[in-house]
Amino acid sequence: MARLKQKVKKWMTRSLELPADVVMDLPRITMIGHLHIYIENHKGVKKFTNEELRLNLQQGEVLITGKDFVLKTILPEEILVEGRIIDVRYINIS
Amino acid sequence: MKKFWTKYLKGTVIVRVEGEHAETFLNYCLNHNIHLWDIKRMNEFELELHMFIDDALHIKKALRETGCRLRVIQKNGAPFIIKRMISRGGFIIGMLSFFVIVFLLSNMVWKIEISGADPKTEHHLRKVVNELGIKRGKLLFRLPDPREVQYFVTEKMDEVTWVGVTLDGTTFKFKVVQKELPEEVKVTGPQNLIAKKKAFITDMFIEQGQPKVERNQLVQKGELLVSGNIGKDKNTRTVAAKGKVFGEVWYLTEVTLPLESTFETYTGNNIDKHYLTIFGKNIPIWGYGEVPYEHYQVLEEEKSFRMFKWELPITYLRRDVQESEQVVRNYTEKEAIEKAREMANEEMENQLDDEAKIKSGKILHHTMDNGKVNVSMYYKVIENIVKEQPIIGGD
Repeated sequence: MARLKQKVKKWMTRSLELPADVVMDLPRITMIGHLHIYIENHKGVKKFTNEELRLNLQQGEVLITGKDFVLKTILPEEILVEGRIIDVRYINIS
Repeated sequence: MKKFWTKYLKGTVIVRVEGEHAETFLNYCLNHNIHLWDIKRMNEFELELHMFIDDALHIKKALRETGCRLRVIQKNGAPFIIKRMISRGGFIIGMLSFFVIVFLLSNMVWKIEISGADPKTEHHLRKVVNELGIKRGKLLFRLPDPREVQYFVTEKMDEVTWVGVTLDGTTFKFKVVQKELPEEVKVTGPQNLIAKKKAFITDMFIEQGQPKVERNQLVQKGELLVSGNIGKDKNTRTVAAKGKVFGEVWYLTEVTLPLESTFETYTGNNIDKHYLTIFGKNIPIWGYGEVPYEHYQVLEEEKSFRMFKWELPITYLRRDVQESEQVVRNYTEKEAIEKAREMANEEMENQLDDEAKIKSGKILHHTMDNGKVNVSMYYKVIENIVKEQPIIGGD
């Protein structure tokens, strides 16, 4: 059933040209150079240190690594991280 | 992101959260709408973060559920500053009393300057001014304003013609113009006296000169009354003719008076309203509410305050609302004529000098049109008709 739902959603984004992050509950990540990264639609912090930030997503996780991380803002839906970002990686995405 | 000022006003704290899984604390805060920002990892077990003071006070449950401990590092913002200020009362009192003292000193009379007066007049003026309450150390806003002072002083002092009063900062400045000595009797050259207007002579008082007219004689304007040439034949010489010649003069005046007239009078009821005016905005301090009168007039009185040499944008305003009444006055024709006659008499008397006397006044005729009465008055007046005319080219 869940798979069917996913399929319908995927089809909708393609044929109706709806933004994928709204329909499929995906994160929207905005970066400003290597200084700022802005993640919307996250599902909680899993790990936070100076060098890495691990966020839960609807599906899987996102791992951001770098240096001197500071969580400038943290809201239920969005996070703004400041620091030197080296790498953004998705983990466990089916 | 909230604006810096709202954060400052609400008061914020920097805290360190210690725990095995500090992230769970973050997630808890996310889900319970507790606002956090500027989160930094200090070491493996410790996060440093900013939060609002009122959130920090209700966070015990979160700490218990997530197994974290909390330490306050720094307190920022207005609530803490106010708290500190209250605990240092002397400081605040000093600051306030400084302003109060400067304010009071800026609104005091410090100097009374008098210029243009001789020592005697100056002494007298100082006394009069003292009587008004203008002394060194008096508060300016309890004193009458310079215009009133000027009026009072000019009334009270006979030896001055005019006193100019200005208030320059904390100094009352009086500029005095003293009365000159009475003018000396001017020496006049040889002159005749002639008639100022057409008149019927009733009385003559000649000091010097040769009268050329008699009592009960009708003279035209410009006719010679008293000649400056006296003596006979060879002994003639010219002098300044002097004297008074009274004659009966006729005047015609017209007065117009409407039968119906409206005017306003005060009923004697009034309301006082007090305001503080700040940057042109009136803030009522006493006397609220609508004015219950149908017709009224407002008298305003304003007092300003000073700080150092500047006038503060705050002034005290008093509004005296006087109830007035529209009164309609109706005259009958007869009354109107009588009134017009009175008015004409008054006008006539104002026109004439002290020596003149109204012998009789008669209504010549009156007309009515457009609700107005036009009255022509005929006056017989006895007055001095003398006018000096110098003799030119005499020997």
